[in-house]
Amino acid sequence: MNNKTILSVENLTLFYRMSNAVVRAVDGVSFSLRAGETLALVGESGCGKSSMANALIRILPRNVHTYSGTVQLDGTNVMQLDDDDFRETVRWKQMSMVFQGAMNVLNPVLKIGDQVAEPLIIHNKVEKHKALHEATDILGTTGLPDDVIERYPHELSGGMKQRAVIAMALIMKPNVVILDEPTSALDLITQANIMNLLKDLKRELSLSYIFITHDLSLASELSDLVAVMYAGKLAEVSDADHVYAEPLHPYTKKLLDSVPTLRTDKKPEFIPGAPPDLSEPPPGCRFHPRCPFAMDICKAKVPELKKQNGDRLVACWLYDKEGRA
Amino acid sequence: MEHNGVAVKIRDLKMYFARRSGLIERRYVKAVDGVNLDLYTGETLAVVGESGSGKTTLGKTLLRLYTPTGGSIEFDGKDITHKPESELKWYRKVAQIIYQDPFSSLNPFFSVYRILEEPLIVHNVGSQEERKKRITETMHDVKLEPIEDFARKNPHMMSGGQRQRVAIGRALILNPKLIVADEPVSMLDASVRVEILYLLRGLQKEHDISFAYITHDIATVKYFSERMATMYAGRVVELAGTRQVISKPLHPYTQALIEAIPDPDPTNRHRNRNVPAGEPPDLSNPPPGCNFHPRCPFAMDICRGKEPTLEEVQPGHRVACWLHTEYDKPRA
Amino acid sequence: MSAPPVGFKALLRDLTKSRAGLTGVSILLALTIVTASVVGLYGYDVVTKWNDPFAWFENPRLAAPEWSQIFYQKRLPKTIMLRESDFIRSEYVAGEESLKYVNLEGTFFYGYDDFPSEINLLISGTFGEYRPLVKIQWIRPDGNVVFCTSQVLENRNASIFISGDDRVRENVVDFMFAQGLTPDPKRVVTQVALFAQIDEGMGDPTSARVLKSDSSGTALPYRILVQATMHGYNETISAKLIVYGKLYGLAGTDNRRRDLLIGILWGAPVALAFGLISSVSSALVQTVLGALGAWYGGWTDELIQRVTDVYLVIPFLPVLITVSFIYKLTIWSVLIVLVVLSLFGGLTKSTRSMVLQIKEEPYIEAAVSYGASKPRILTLYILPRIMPYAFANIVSSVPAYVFLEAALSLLGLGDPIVPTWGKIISEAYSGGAVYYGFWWWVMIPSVLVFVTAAAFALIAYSFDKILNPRLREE
Repeated sequence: MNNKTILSVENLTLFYRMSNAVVRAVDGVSFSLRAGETLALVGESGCGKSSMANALIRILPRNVHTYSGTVQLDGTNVMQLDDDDFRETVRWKQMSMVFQGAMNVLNPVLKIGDQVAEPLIIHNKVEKHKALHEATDILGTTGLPDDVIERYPHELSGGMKQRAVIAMALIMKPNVVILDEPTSALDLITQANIMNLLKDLKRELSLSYIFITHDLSLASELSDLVAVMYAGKLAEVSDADHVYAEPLHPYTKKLLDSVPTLRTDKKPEFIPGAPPDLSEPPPGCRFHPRCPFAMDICKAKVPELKKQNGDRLVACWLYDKEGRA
Repeated sequence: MEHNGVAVKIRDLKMYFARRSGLIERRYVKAVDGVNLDLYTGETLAVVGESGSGKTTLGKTLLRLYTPTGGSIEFDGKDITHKPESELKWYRKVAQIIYQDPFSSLNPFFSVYRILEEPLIVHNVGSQEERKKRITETMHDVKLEPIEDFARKNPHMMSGGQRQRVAIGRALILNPKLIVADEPVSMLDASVRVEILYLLRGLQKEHDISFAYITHDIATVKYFSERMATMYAGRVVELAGTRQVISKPLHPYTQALIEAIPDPDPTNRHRNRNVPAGEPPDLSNPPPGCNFHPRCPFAMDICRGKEPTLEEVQPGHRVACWLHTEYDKPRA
Repeated sequence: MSAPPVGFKALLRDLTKSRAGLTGVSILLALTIVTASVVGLYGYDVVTKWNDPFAWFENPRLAAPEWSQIFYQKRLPKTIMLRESDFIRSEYVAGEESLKYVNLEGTFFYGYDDFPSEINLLISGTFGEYRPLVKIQWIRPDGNVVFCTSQVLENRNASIFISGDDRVRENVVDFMFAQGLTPDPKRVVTQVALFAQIDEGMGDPTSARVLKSDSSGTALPYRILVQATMHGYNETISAKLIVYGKLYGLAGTDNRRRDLLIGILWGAPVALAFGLISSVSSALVQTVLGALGAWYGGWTDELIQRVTDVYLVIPFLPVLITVSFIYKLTIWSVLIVLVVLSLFGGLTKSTRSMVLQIKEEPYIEAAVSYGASKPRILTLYILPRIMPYAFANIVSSVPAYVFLEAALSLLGLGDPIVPTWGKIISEAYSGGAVYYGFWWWVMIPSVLVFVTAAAFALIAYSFDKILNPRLREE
């Protein structure tokens, strides 16, 4: 499938200013996504993946220290747009987001139909009656019955709310949808149902997903491409078929090893130590304090994300022979 | 299955919570609706279910944090079902709980030492020196070392994993016979979960404690349980040895749970998982007959009418499902 | 979490870091030092002295504070006092059986631009059954002698209130006529005329000009001559002259000549004690009751909440007024009534809602599971968590009680004896301070009430940042 590249991110950087430190949440991240493809962004809590999502969709807090990089969306570098233009042309229209804790995204005093239709009414100036009609359609696509537009959020179950939030993200027919841990608060079976829905939507609407999760197993449900993030930087970007069988970066290996498996008797290993403080990352490769293969160069120089074995990208001195020399 | 005797006998346990809806009408949320279980000495029984299954309520009722609406609980031969709080002090020594949330289950004003000392003080155990010895022992057991450092810390100075160790230590310090662990690792980082479960397993073997391991994460049960019970909408639907249930689940709900577990396989993205649609029922108005029938892919007519009971359909394997139990046999 | 656990150390740290908190604390520190020194140095004597009219007669009436001179163009007079030893005495006895003549002469300079407020001459004498005759003359720097009066001394301690005595005034008017002036006798002010340059307006405070006699220049002083005719050679008299000024001390005086500074200084500890005792006791009771009700639930909770509802409806002031009709209120009884009226209140309700939420937290249930008793959990697990909030409430409610005390005094419901700021303001009000412009009498105590209240409010404000999660800036 050789689709065109729909999203190209280069050196995206987002630092926050805290009372006496700078938190380097997203530190020069680069990757690209093709139409209809899903990229999973995987990492432990505190690695900066949610900040990545915020950086892409430009929902930033007040204490931003640095925000730079290039984000090519369908040919345009959206980082160069000012906030108003971004809001009118990009956010929700070309790229939308399903937030973590999506149940809390819904306004408890508004009906579902009104909330889902709202972007259409405000952005596209669609007349209310028509907007509600479209809302009903998209809600139906996510598996919800017609009468849900008259309901309030508290009348819906967790799974139904999640579907409504997904519908909200799709209403303007964006090309790229960012999903930040969309199933974290759901039960197992509901989660499986939602993942099924996402699979169906991906096929039917040719959506490109950026699927953010801490769960490598869950990532395999959707992703064509897996990007492993550690301490604000990307450790590895590989296609799914290869990364699960043959992880390159030591961190990816350790992540895979720590997954408890139901069907085999393999004892999961845990990763000693803890992720670093993003305001004071270790010098050189950020993973070196916990890496079983750490060499001297790892403590000194930051490895760059380079191509290995075809299209796979790894940032590790084990593979970058030229850089080591 | 060999075991050292029954620590806890739960018979037809019901726990209903009253919800006032309307001026006169009273509705009951049937959180636990007729549960029969035995918990053996020194074993871990995993109680698996999603939210609303009643597993947490079962655990708390077992500890008499609630007073059962019906049925009976027997601990070590003593009936504790309706005993008032004043007569349960001894029980509060032998039965303990570990909570899910390491952030709010510890007293934020106490140091680790004080948190561990508190149960000893409440039950007037030992002198100052004896308590210190016991606390040091326990901190060593849960690997909170160096002990002098941790003893002085407050909960907010520690990571989730460390706090949970304190919670485990607190549960151990009175040398209990029964511990209810309510999702003890769900709020911890994935990399720490198995470590903590192994710790619990080691402690169980060393001190011969019975554990009720309540969780929604089936992938973890085989690291810490000998037997497993699946719960749905307040009832136990399957009960057998852990490996047996996982390798050959009989109840459609257990099968769905297992099917729903993600595994790291890149071919997953090419196919949908075969799980039933819908959500667990409203516990104040559960469906008639088998609770699961509206979602069950194999539902038969009898499932809509008659509630199946937990029957041993294979040696050591109980199931509450008309698919496996003969329903034309006259009931005793 | 709604009532996040906050340690006292954190509160104190926050206090010292914020400008508001530091300002508040420094004001309070100053007040406490003043309080301690006043109470230490003067003791309860102040109260008796305050109500003793004779203790203040040497002070001018309604004098402004001395530092207020900067606001006036004219140099206002301070009190000039000639004590008994300042008088030059000469005695002359004609013979053993004859009369004794005693002359007392007092001298002083007067360089001010404005006239004294009053003039009083106090004469004390020792005499037998025959009372002495006293003649008083006023000798001006311009050489004129004004005959003031000639009287028989009725008592051993008598005062001739020169500025207010009608006979003296008549004599002064006569003097003016003798100078060829035509004053309106009813409008001549004695103390003005005695000090004024001789012209048509000399008896009128608005038009008279002061006849100055500077000690620096070559001018002559003012002199007062007291001549007494006595009947026994061992009889004698002595005199004390007080020329009352218009400026006094740091806080001025009131209409009873009381040094307001003393009253105000004494008012500080009263205000602080009153505010603190009432707010601490009411906050503690309300917090404990709210927590008790929420923790035990059931009838206890119902009862406490219903009583609180009734209390919240009861108006303070009308009840206090009613009580004051029945019982005579002292400041302590007012305090007790106030505390009783504040046993249940808003803090009961907010503590209750905090405890209701804390109750649901796992660590509380955990305590039940390892056998901790209900009272133990309440005191060791729950109360420490709400105490910082109660503390902040105490601090922020002190201003209300300070104002309340002032308001009560203003309404006449306060303590009739103890000088409090409210009392002073109330007396100022009824003494016409606002109408007549005795600004210091009203303003100084008012500003102090305000400053005290502000100090507590500032401290409470600095707490608010840490206790109110919505104000926290992340």
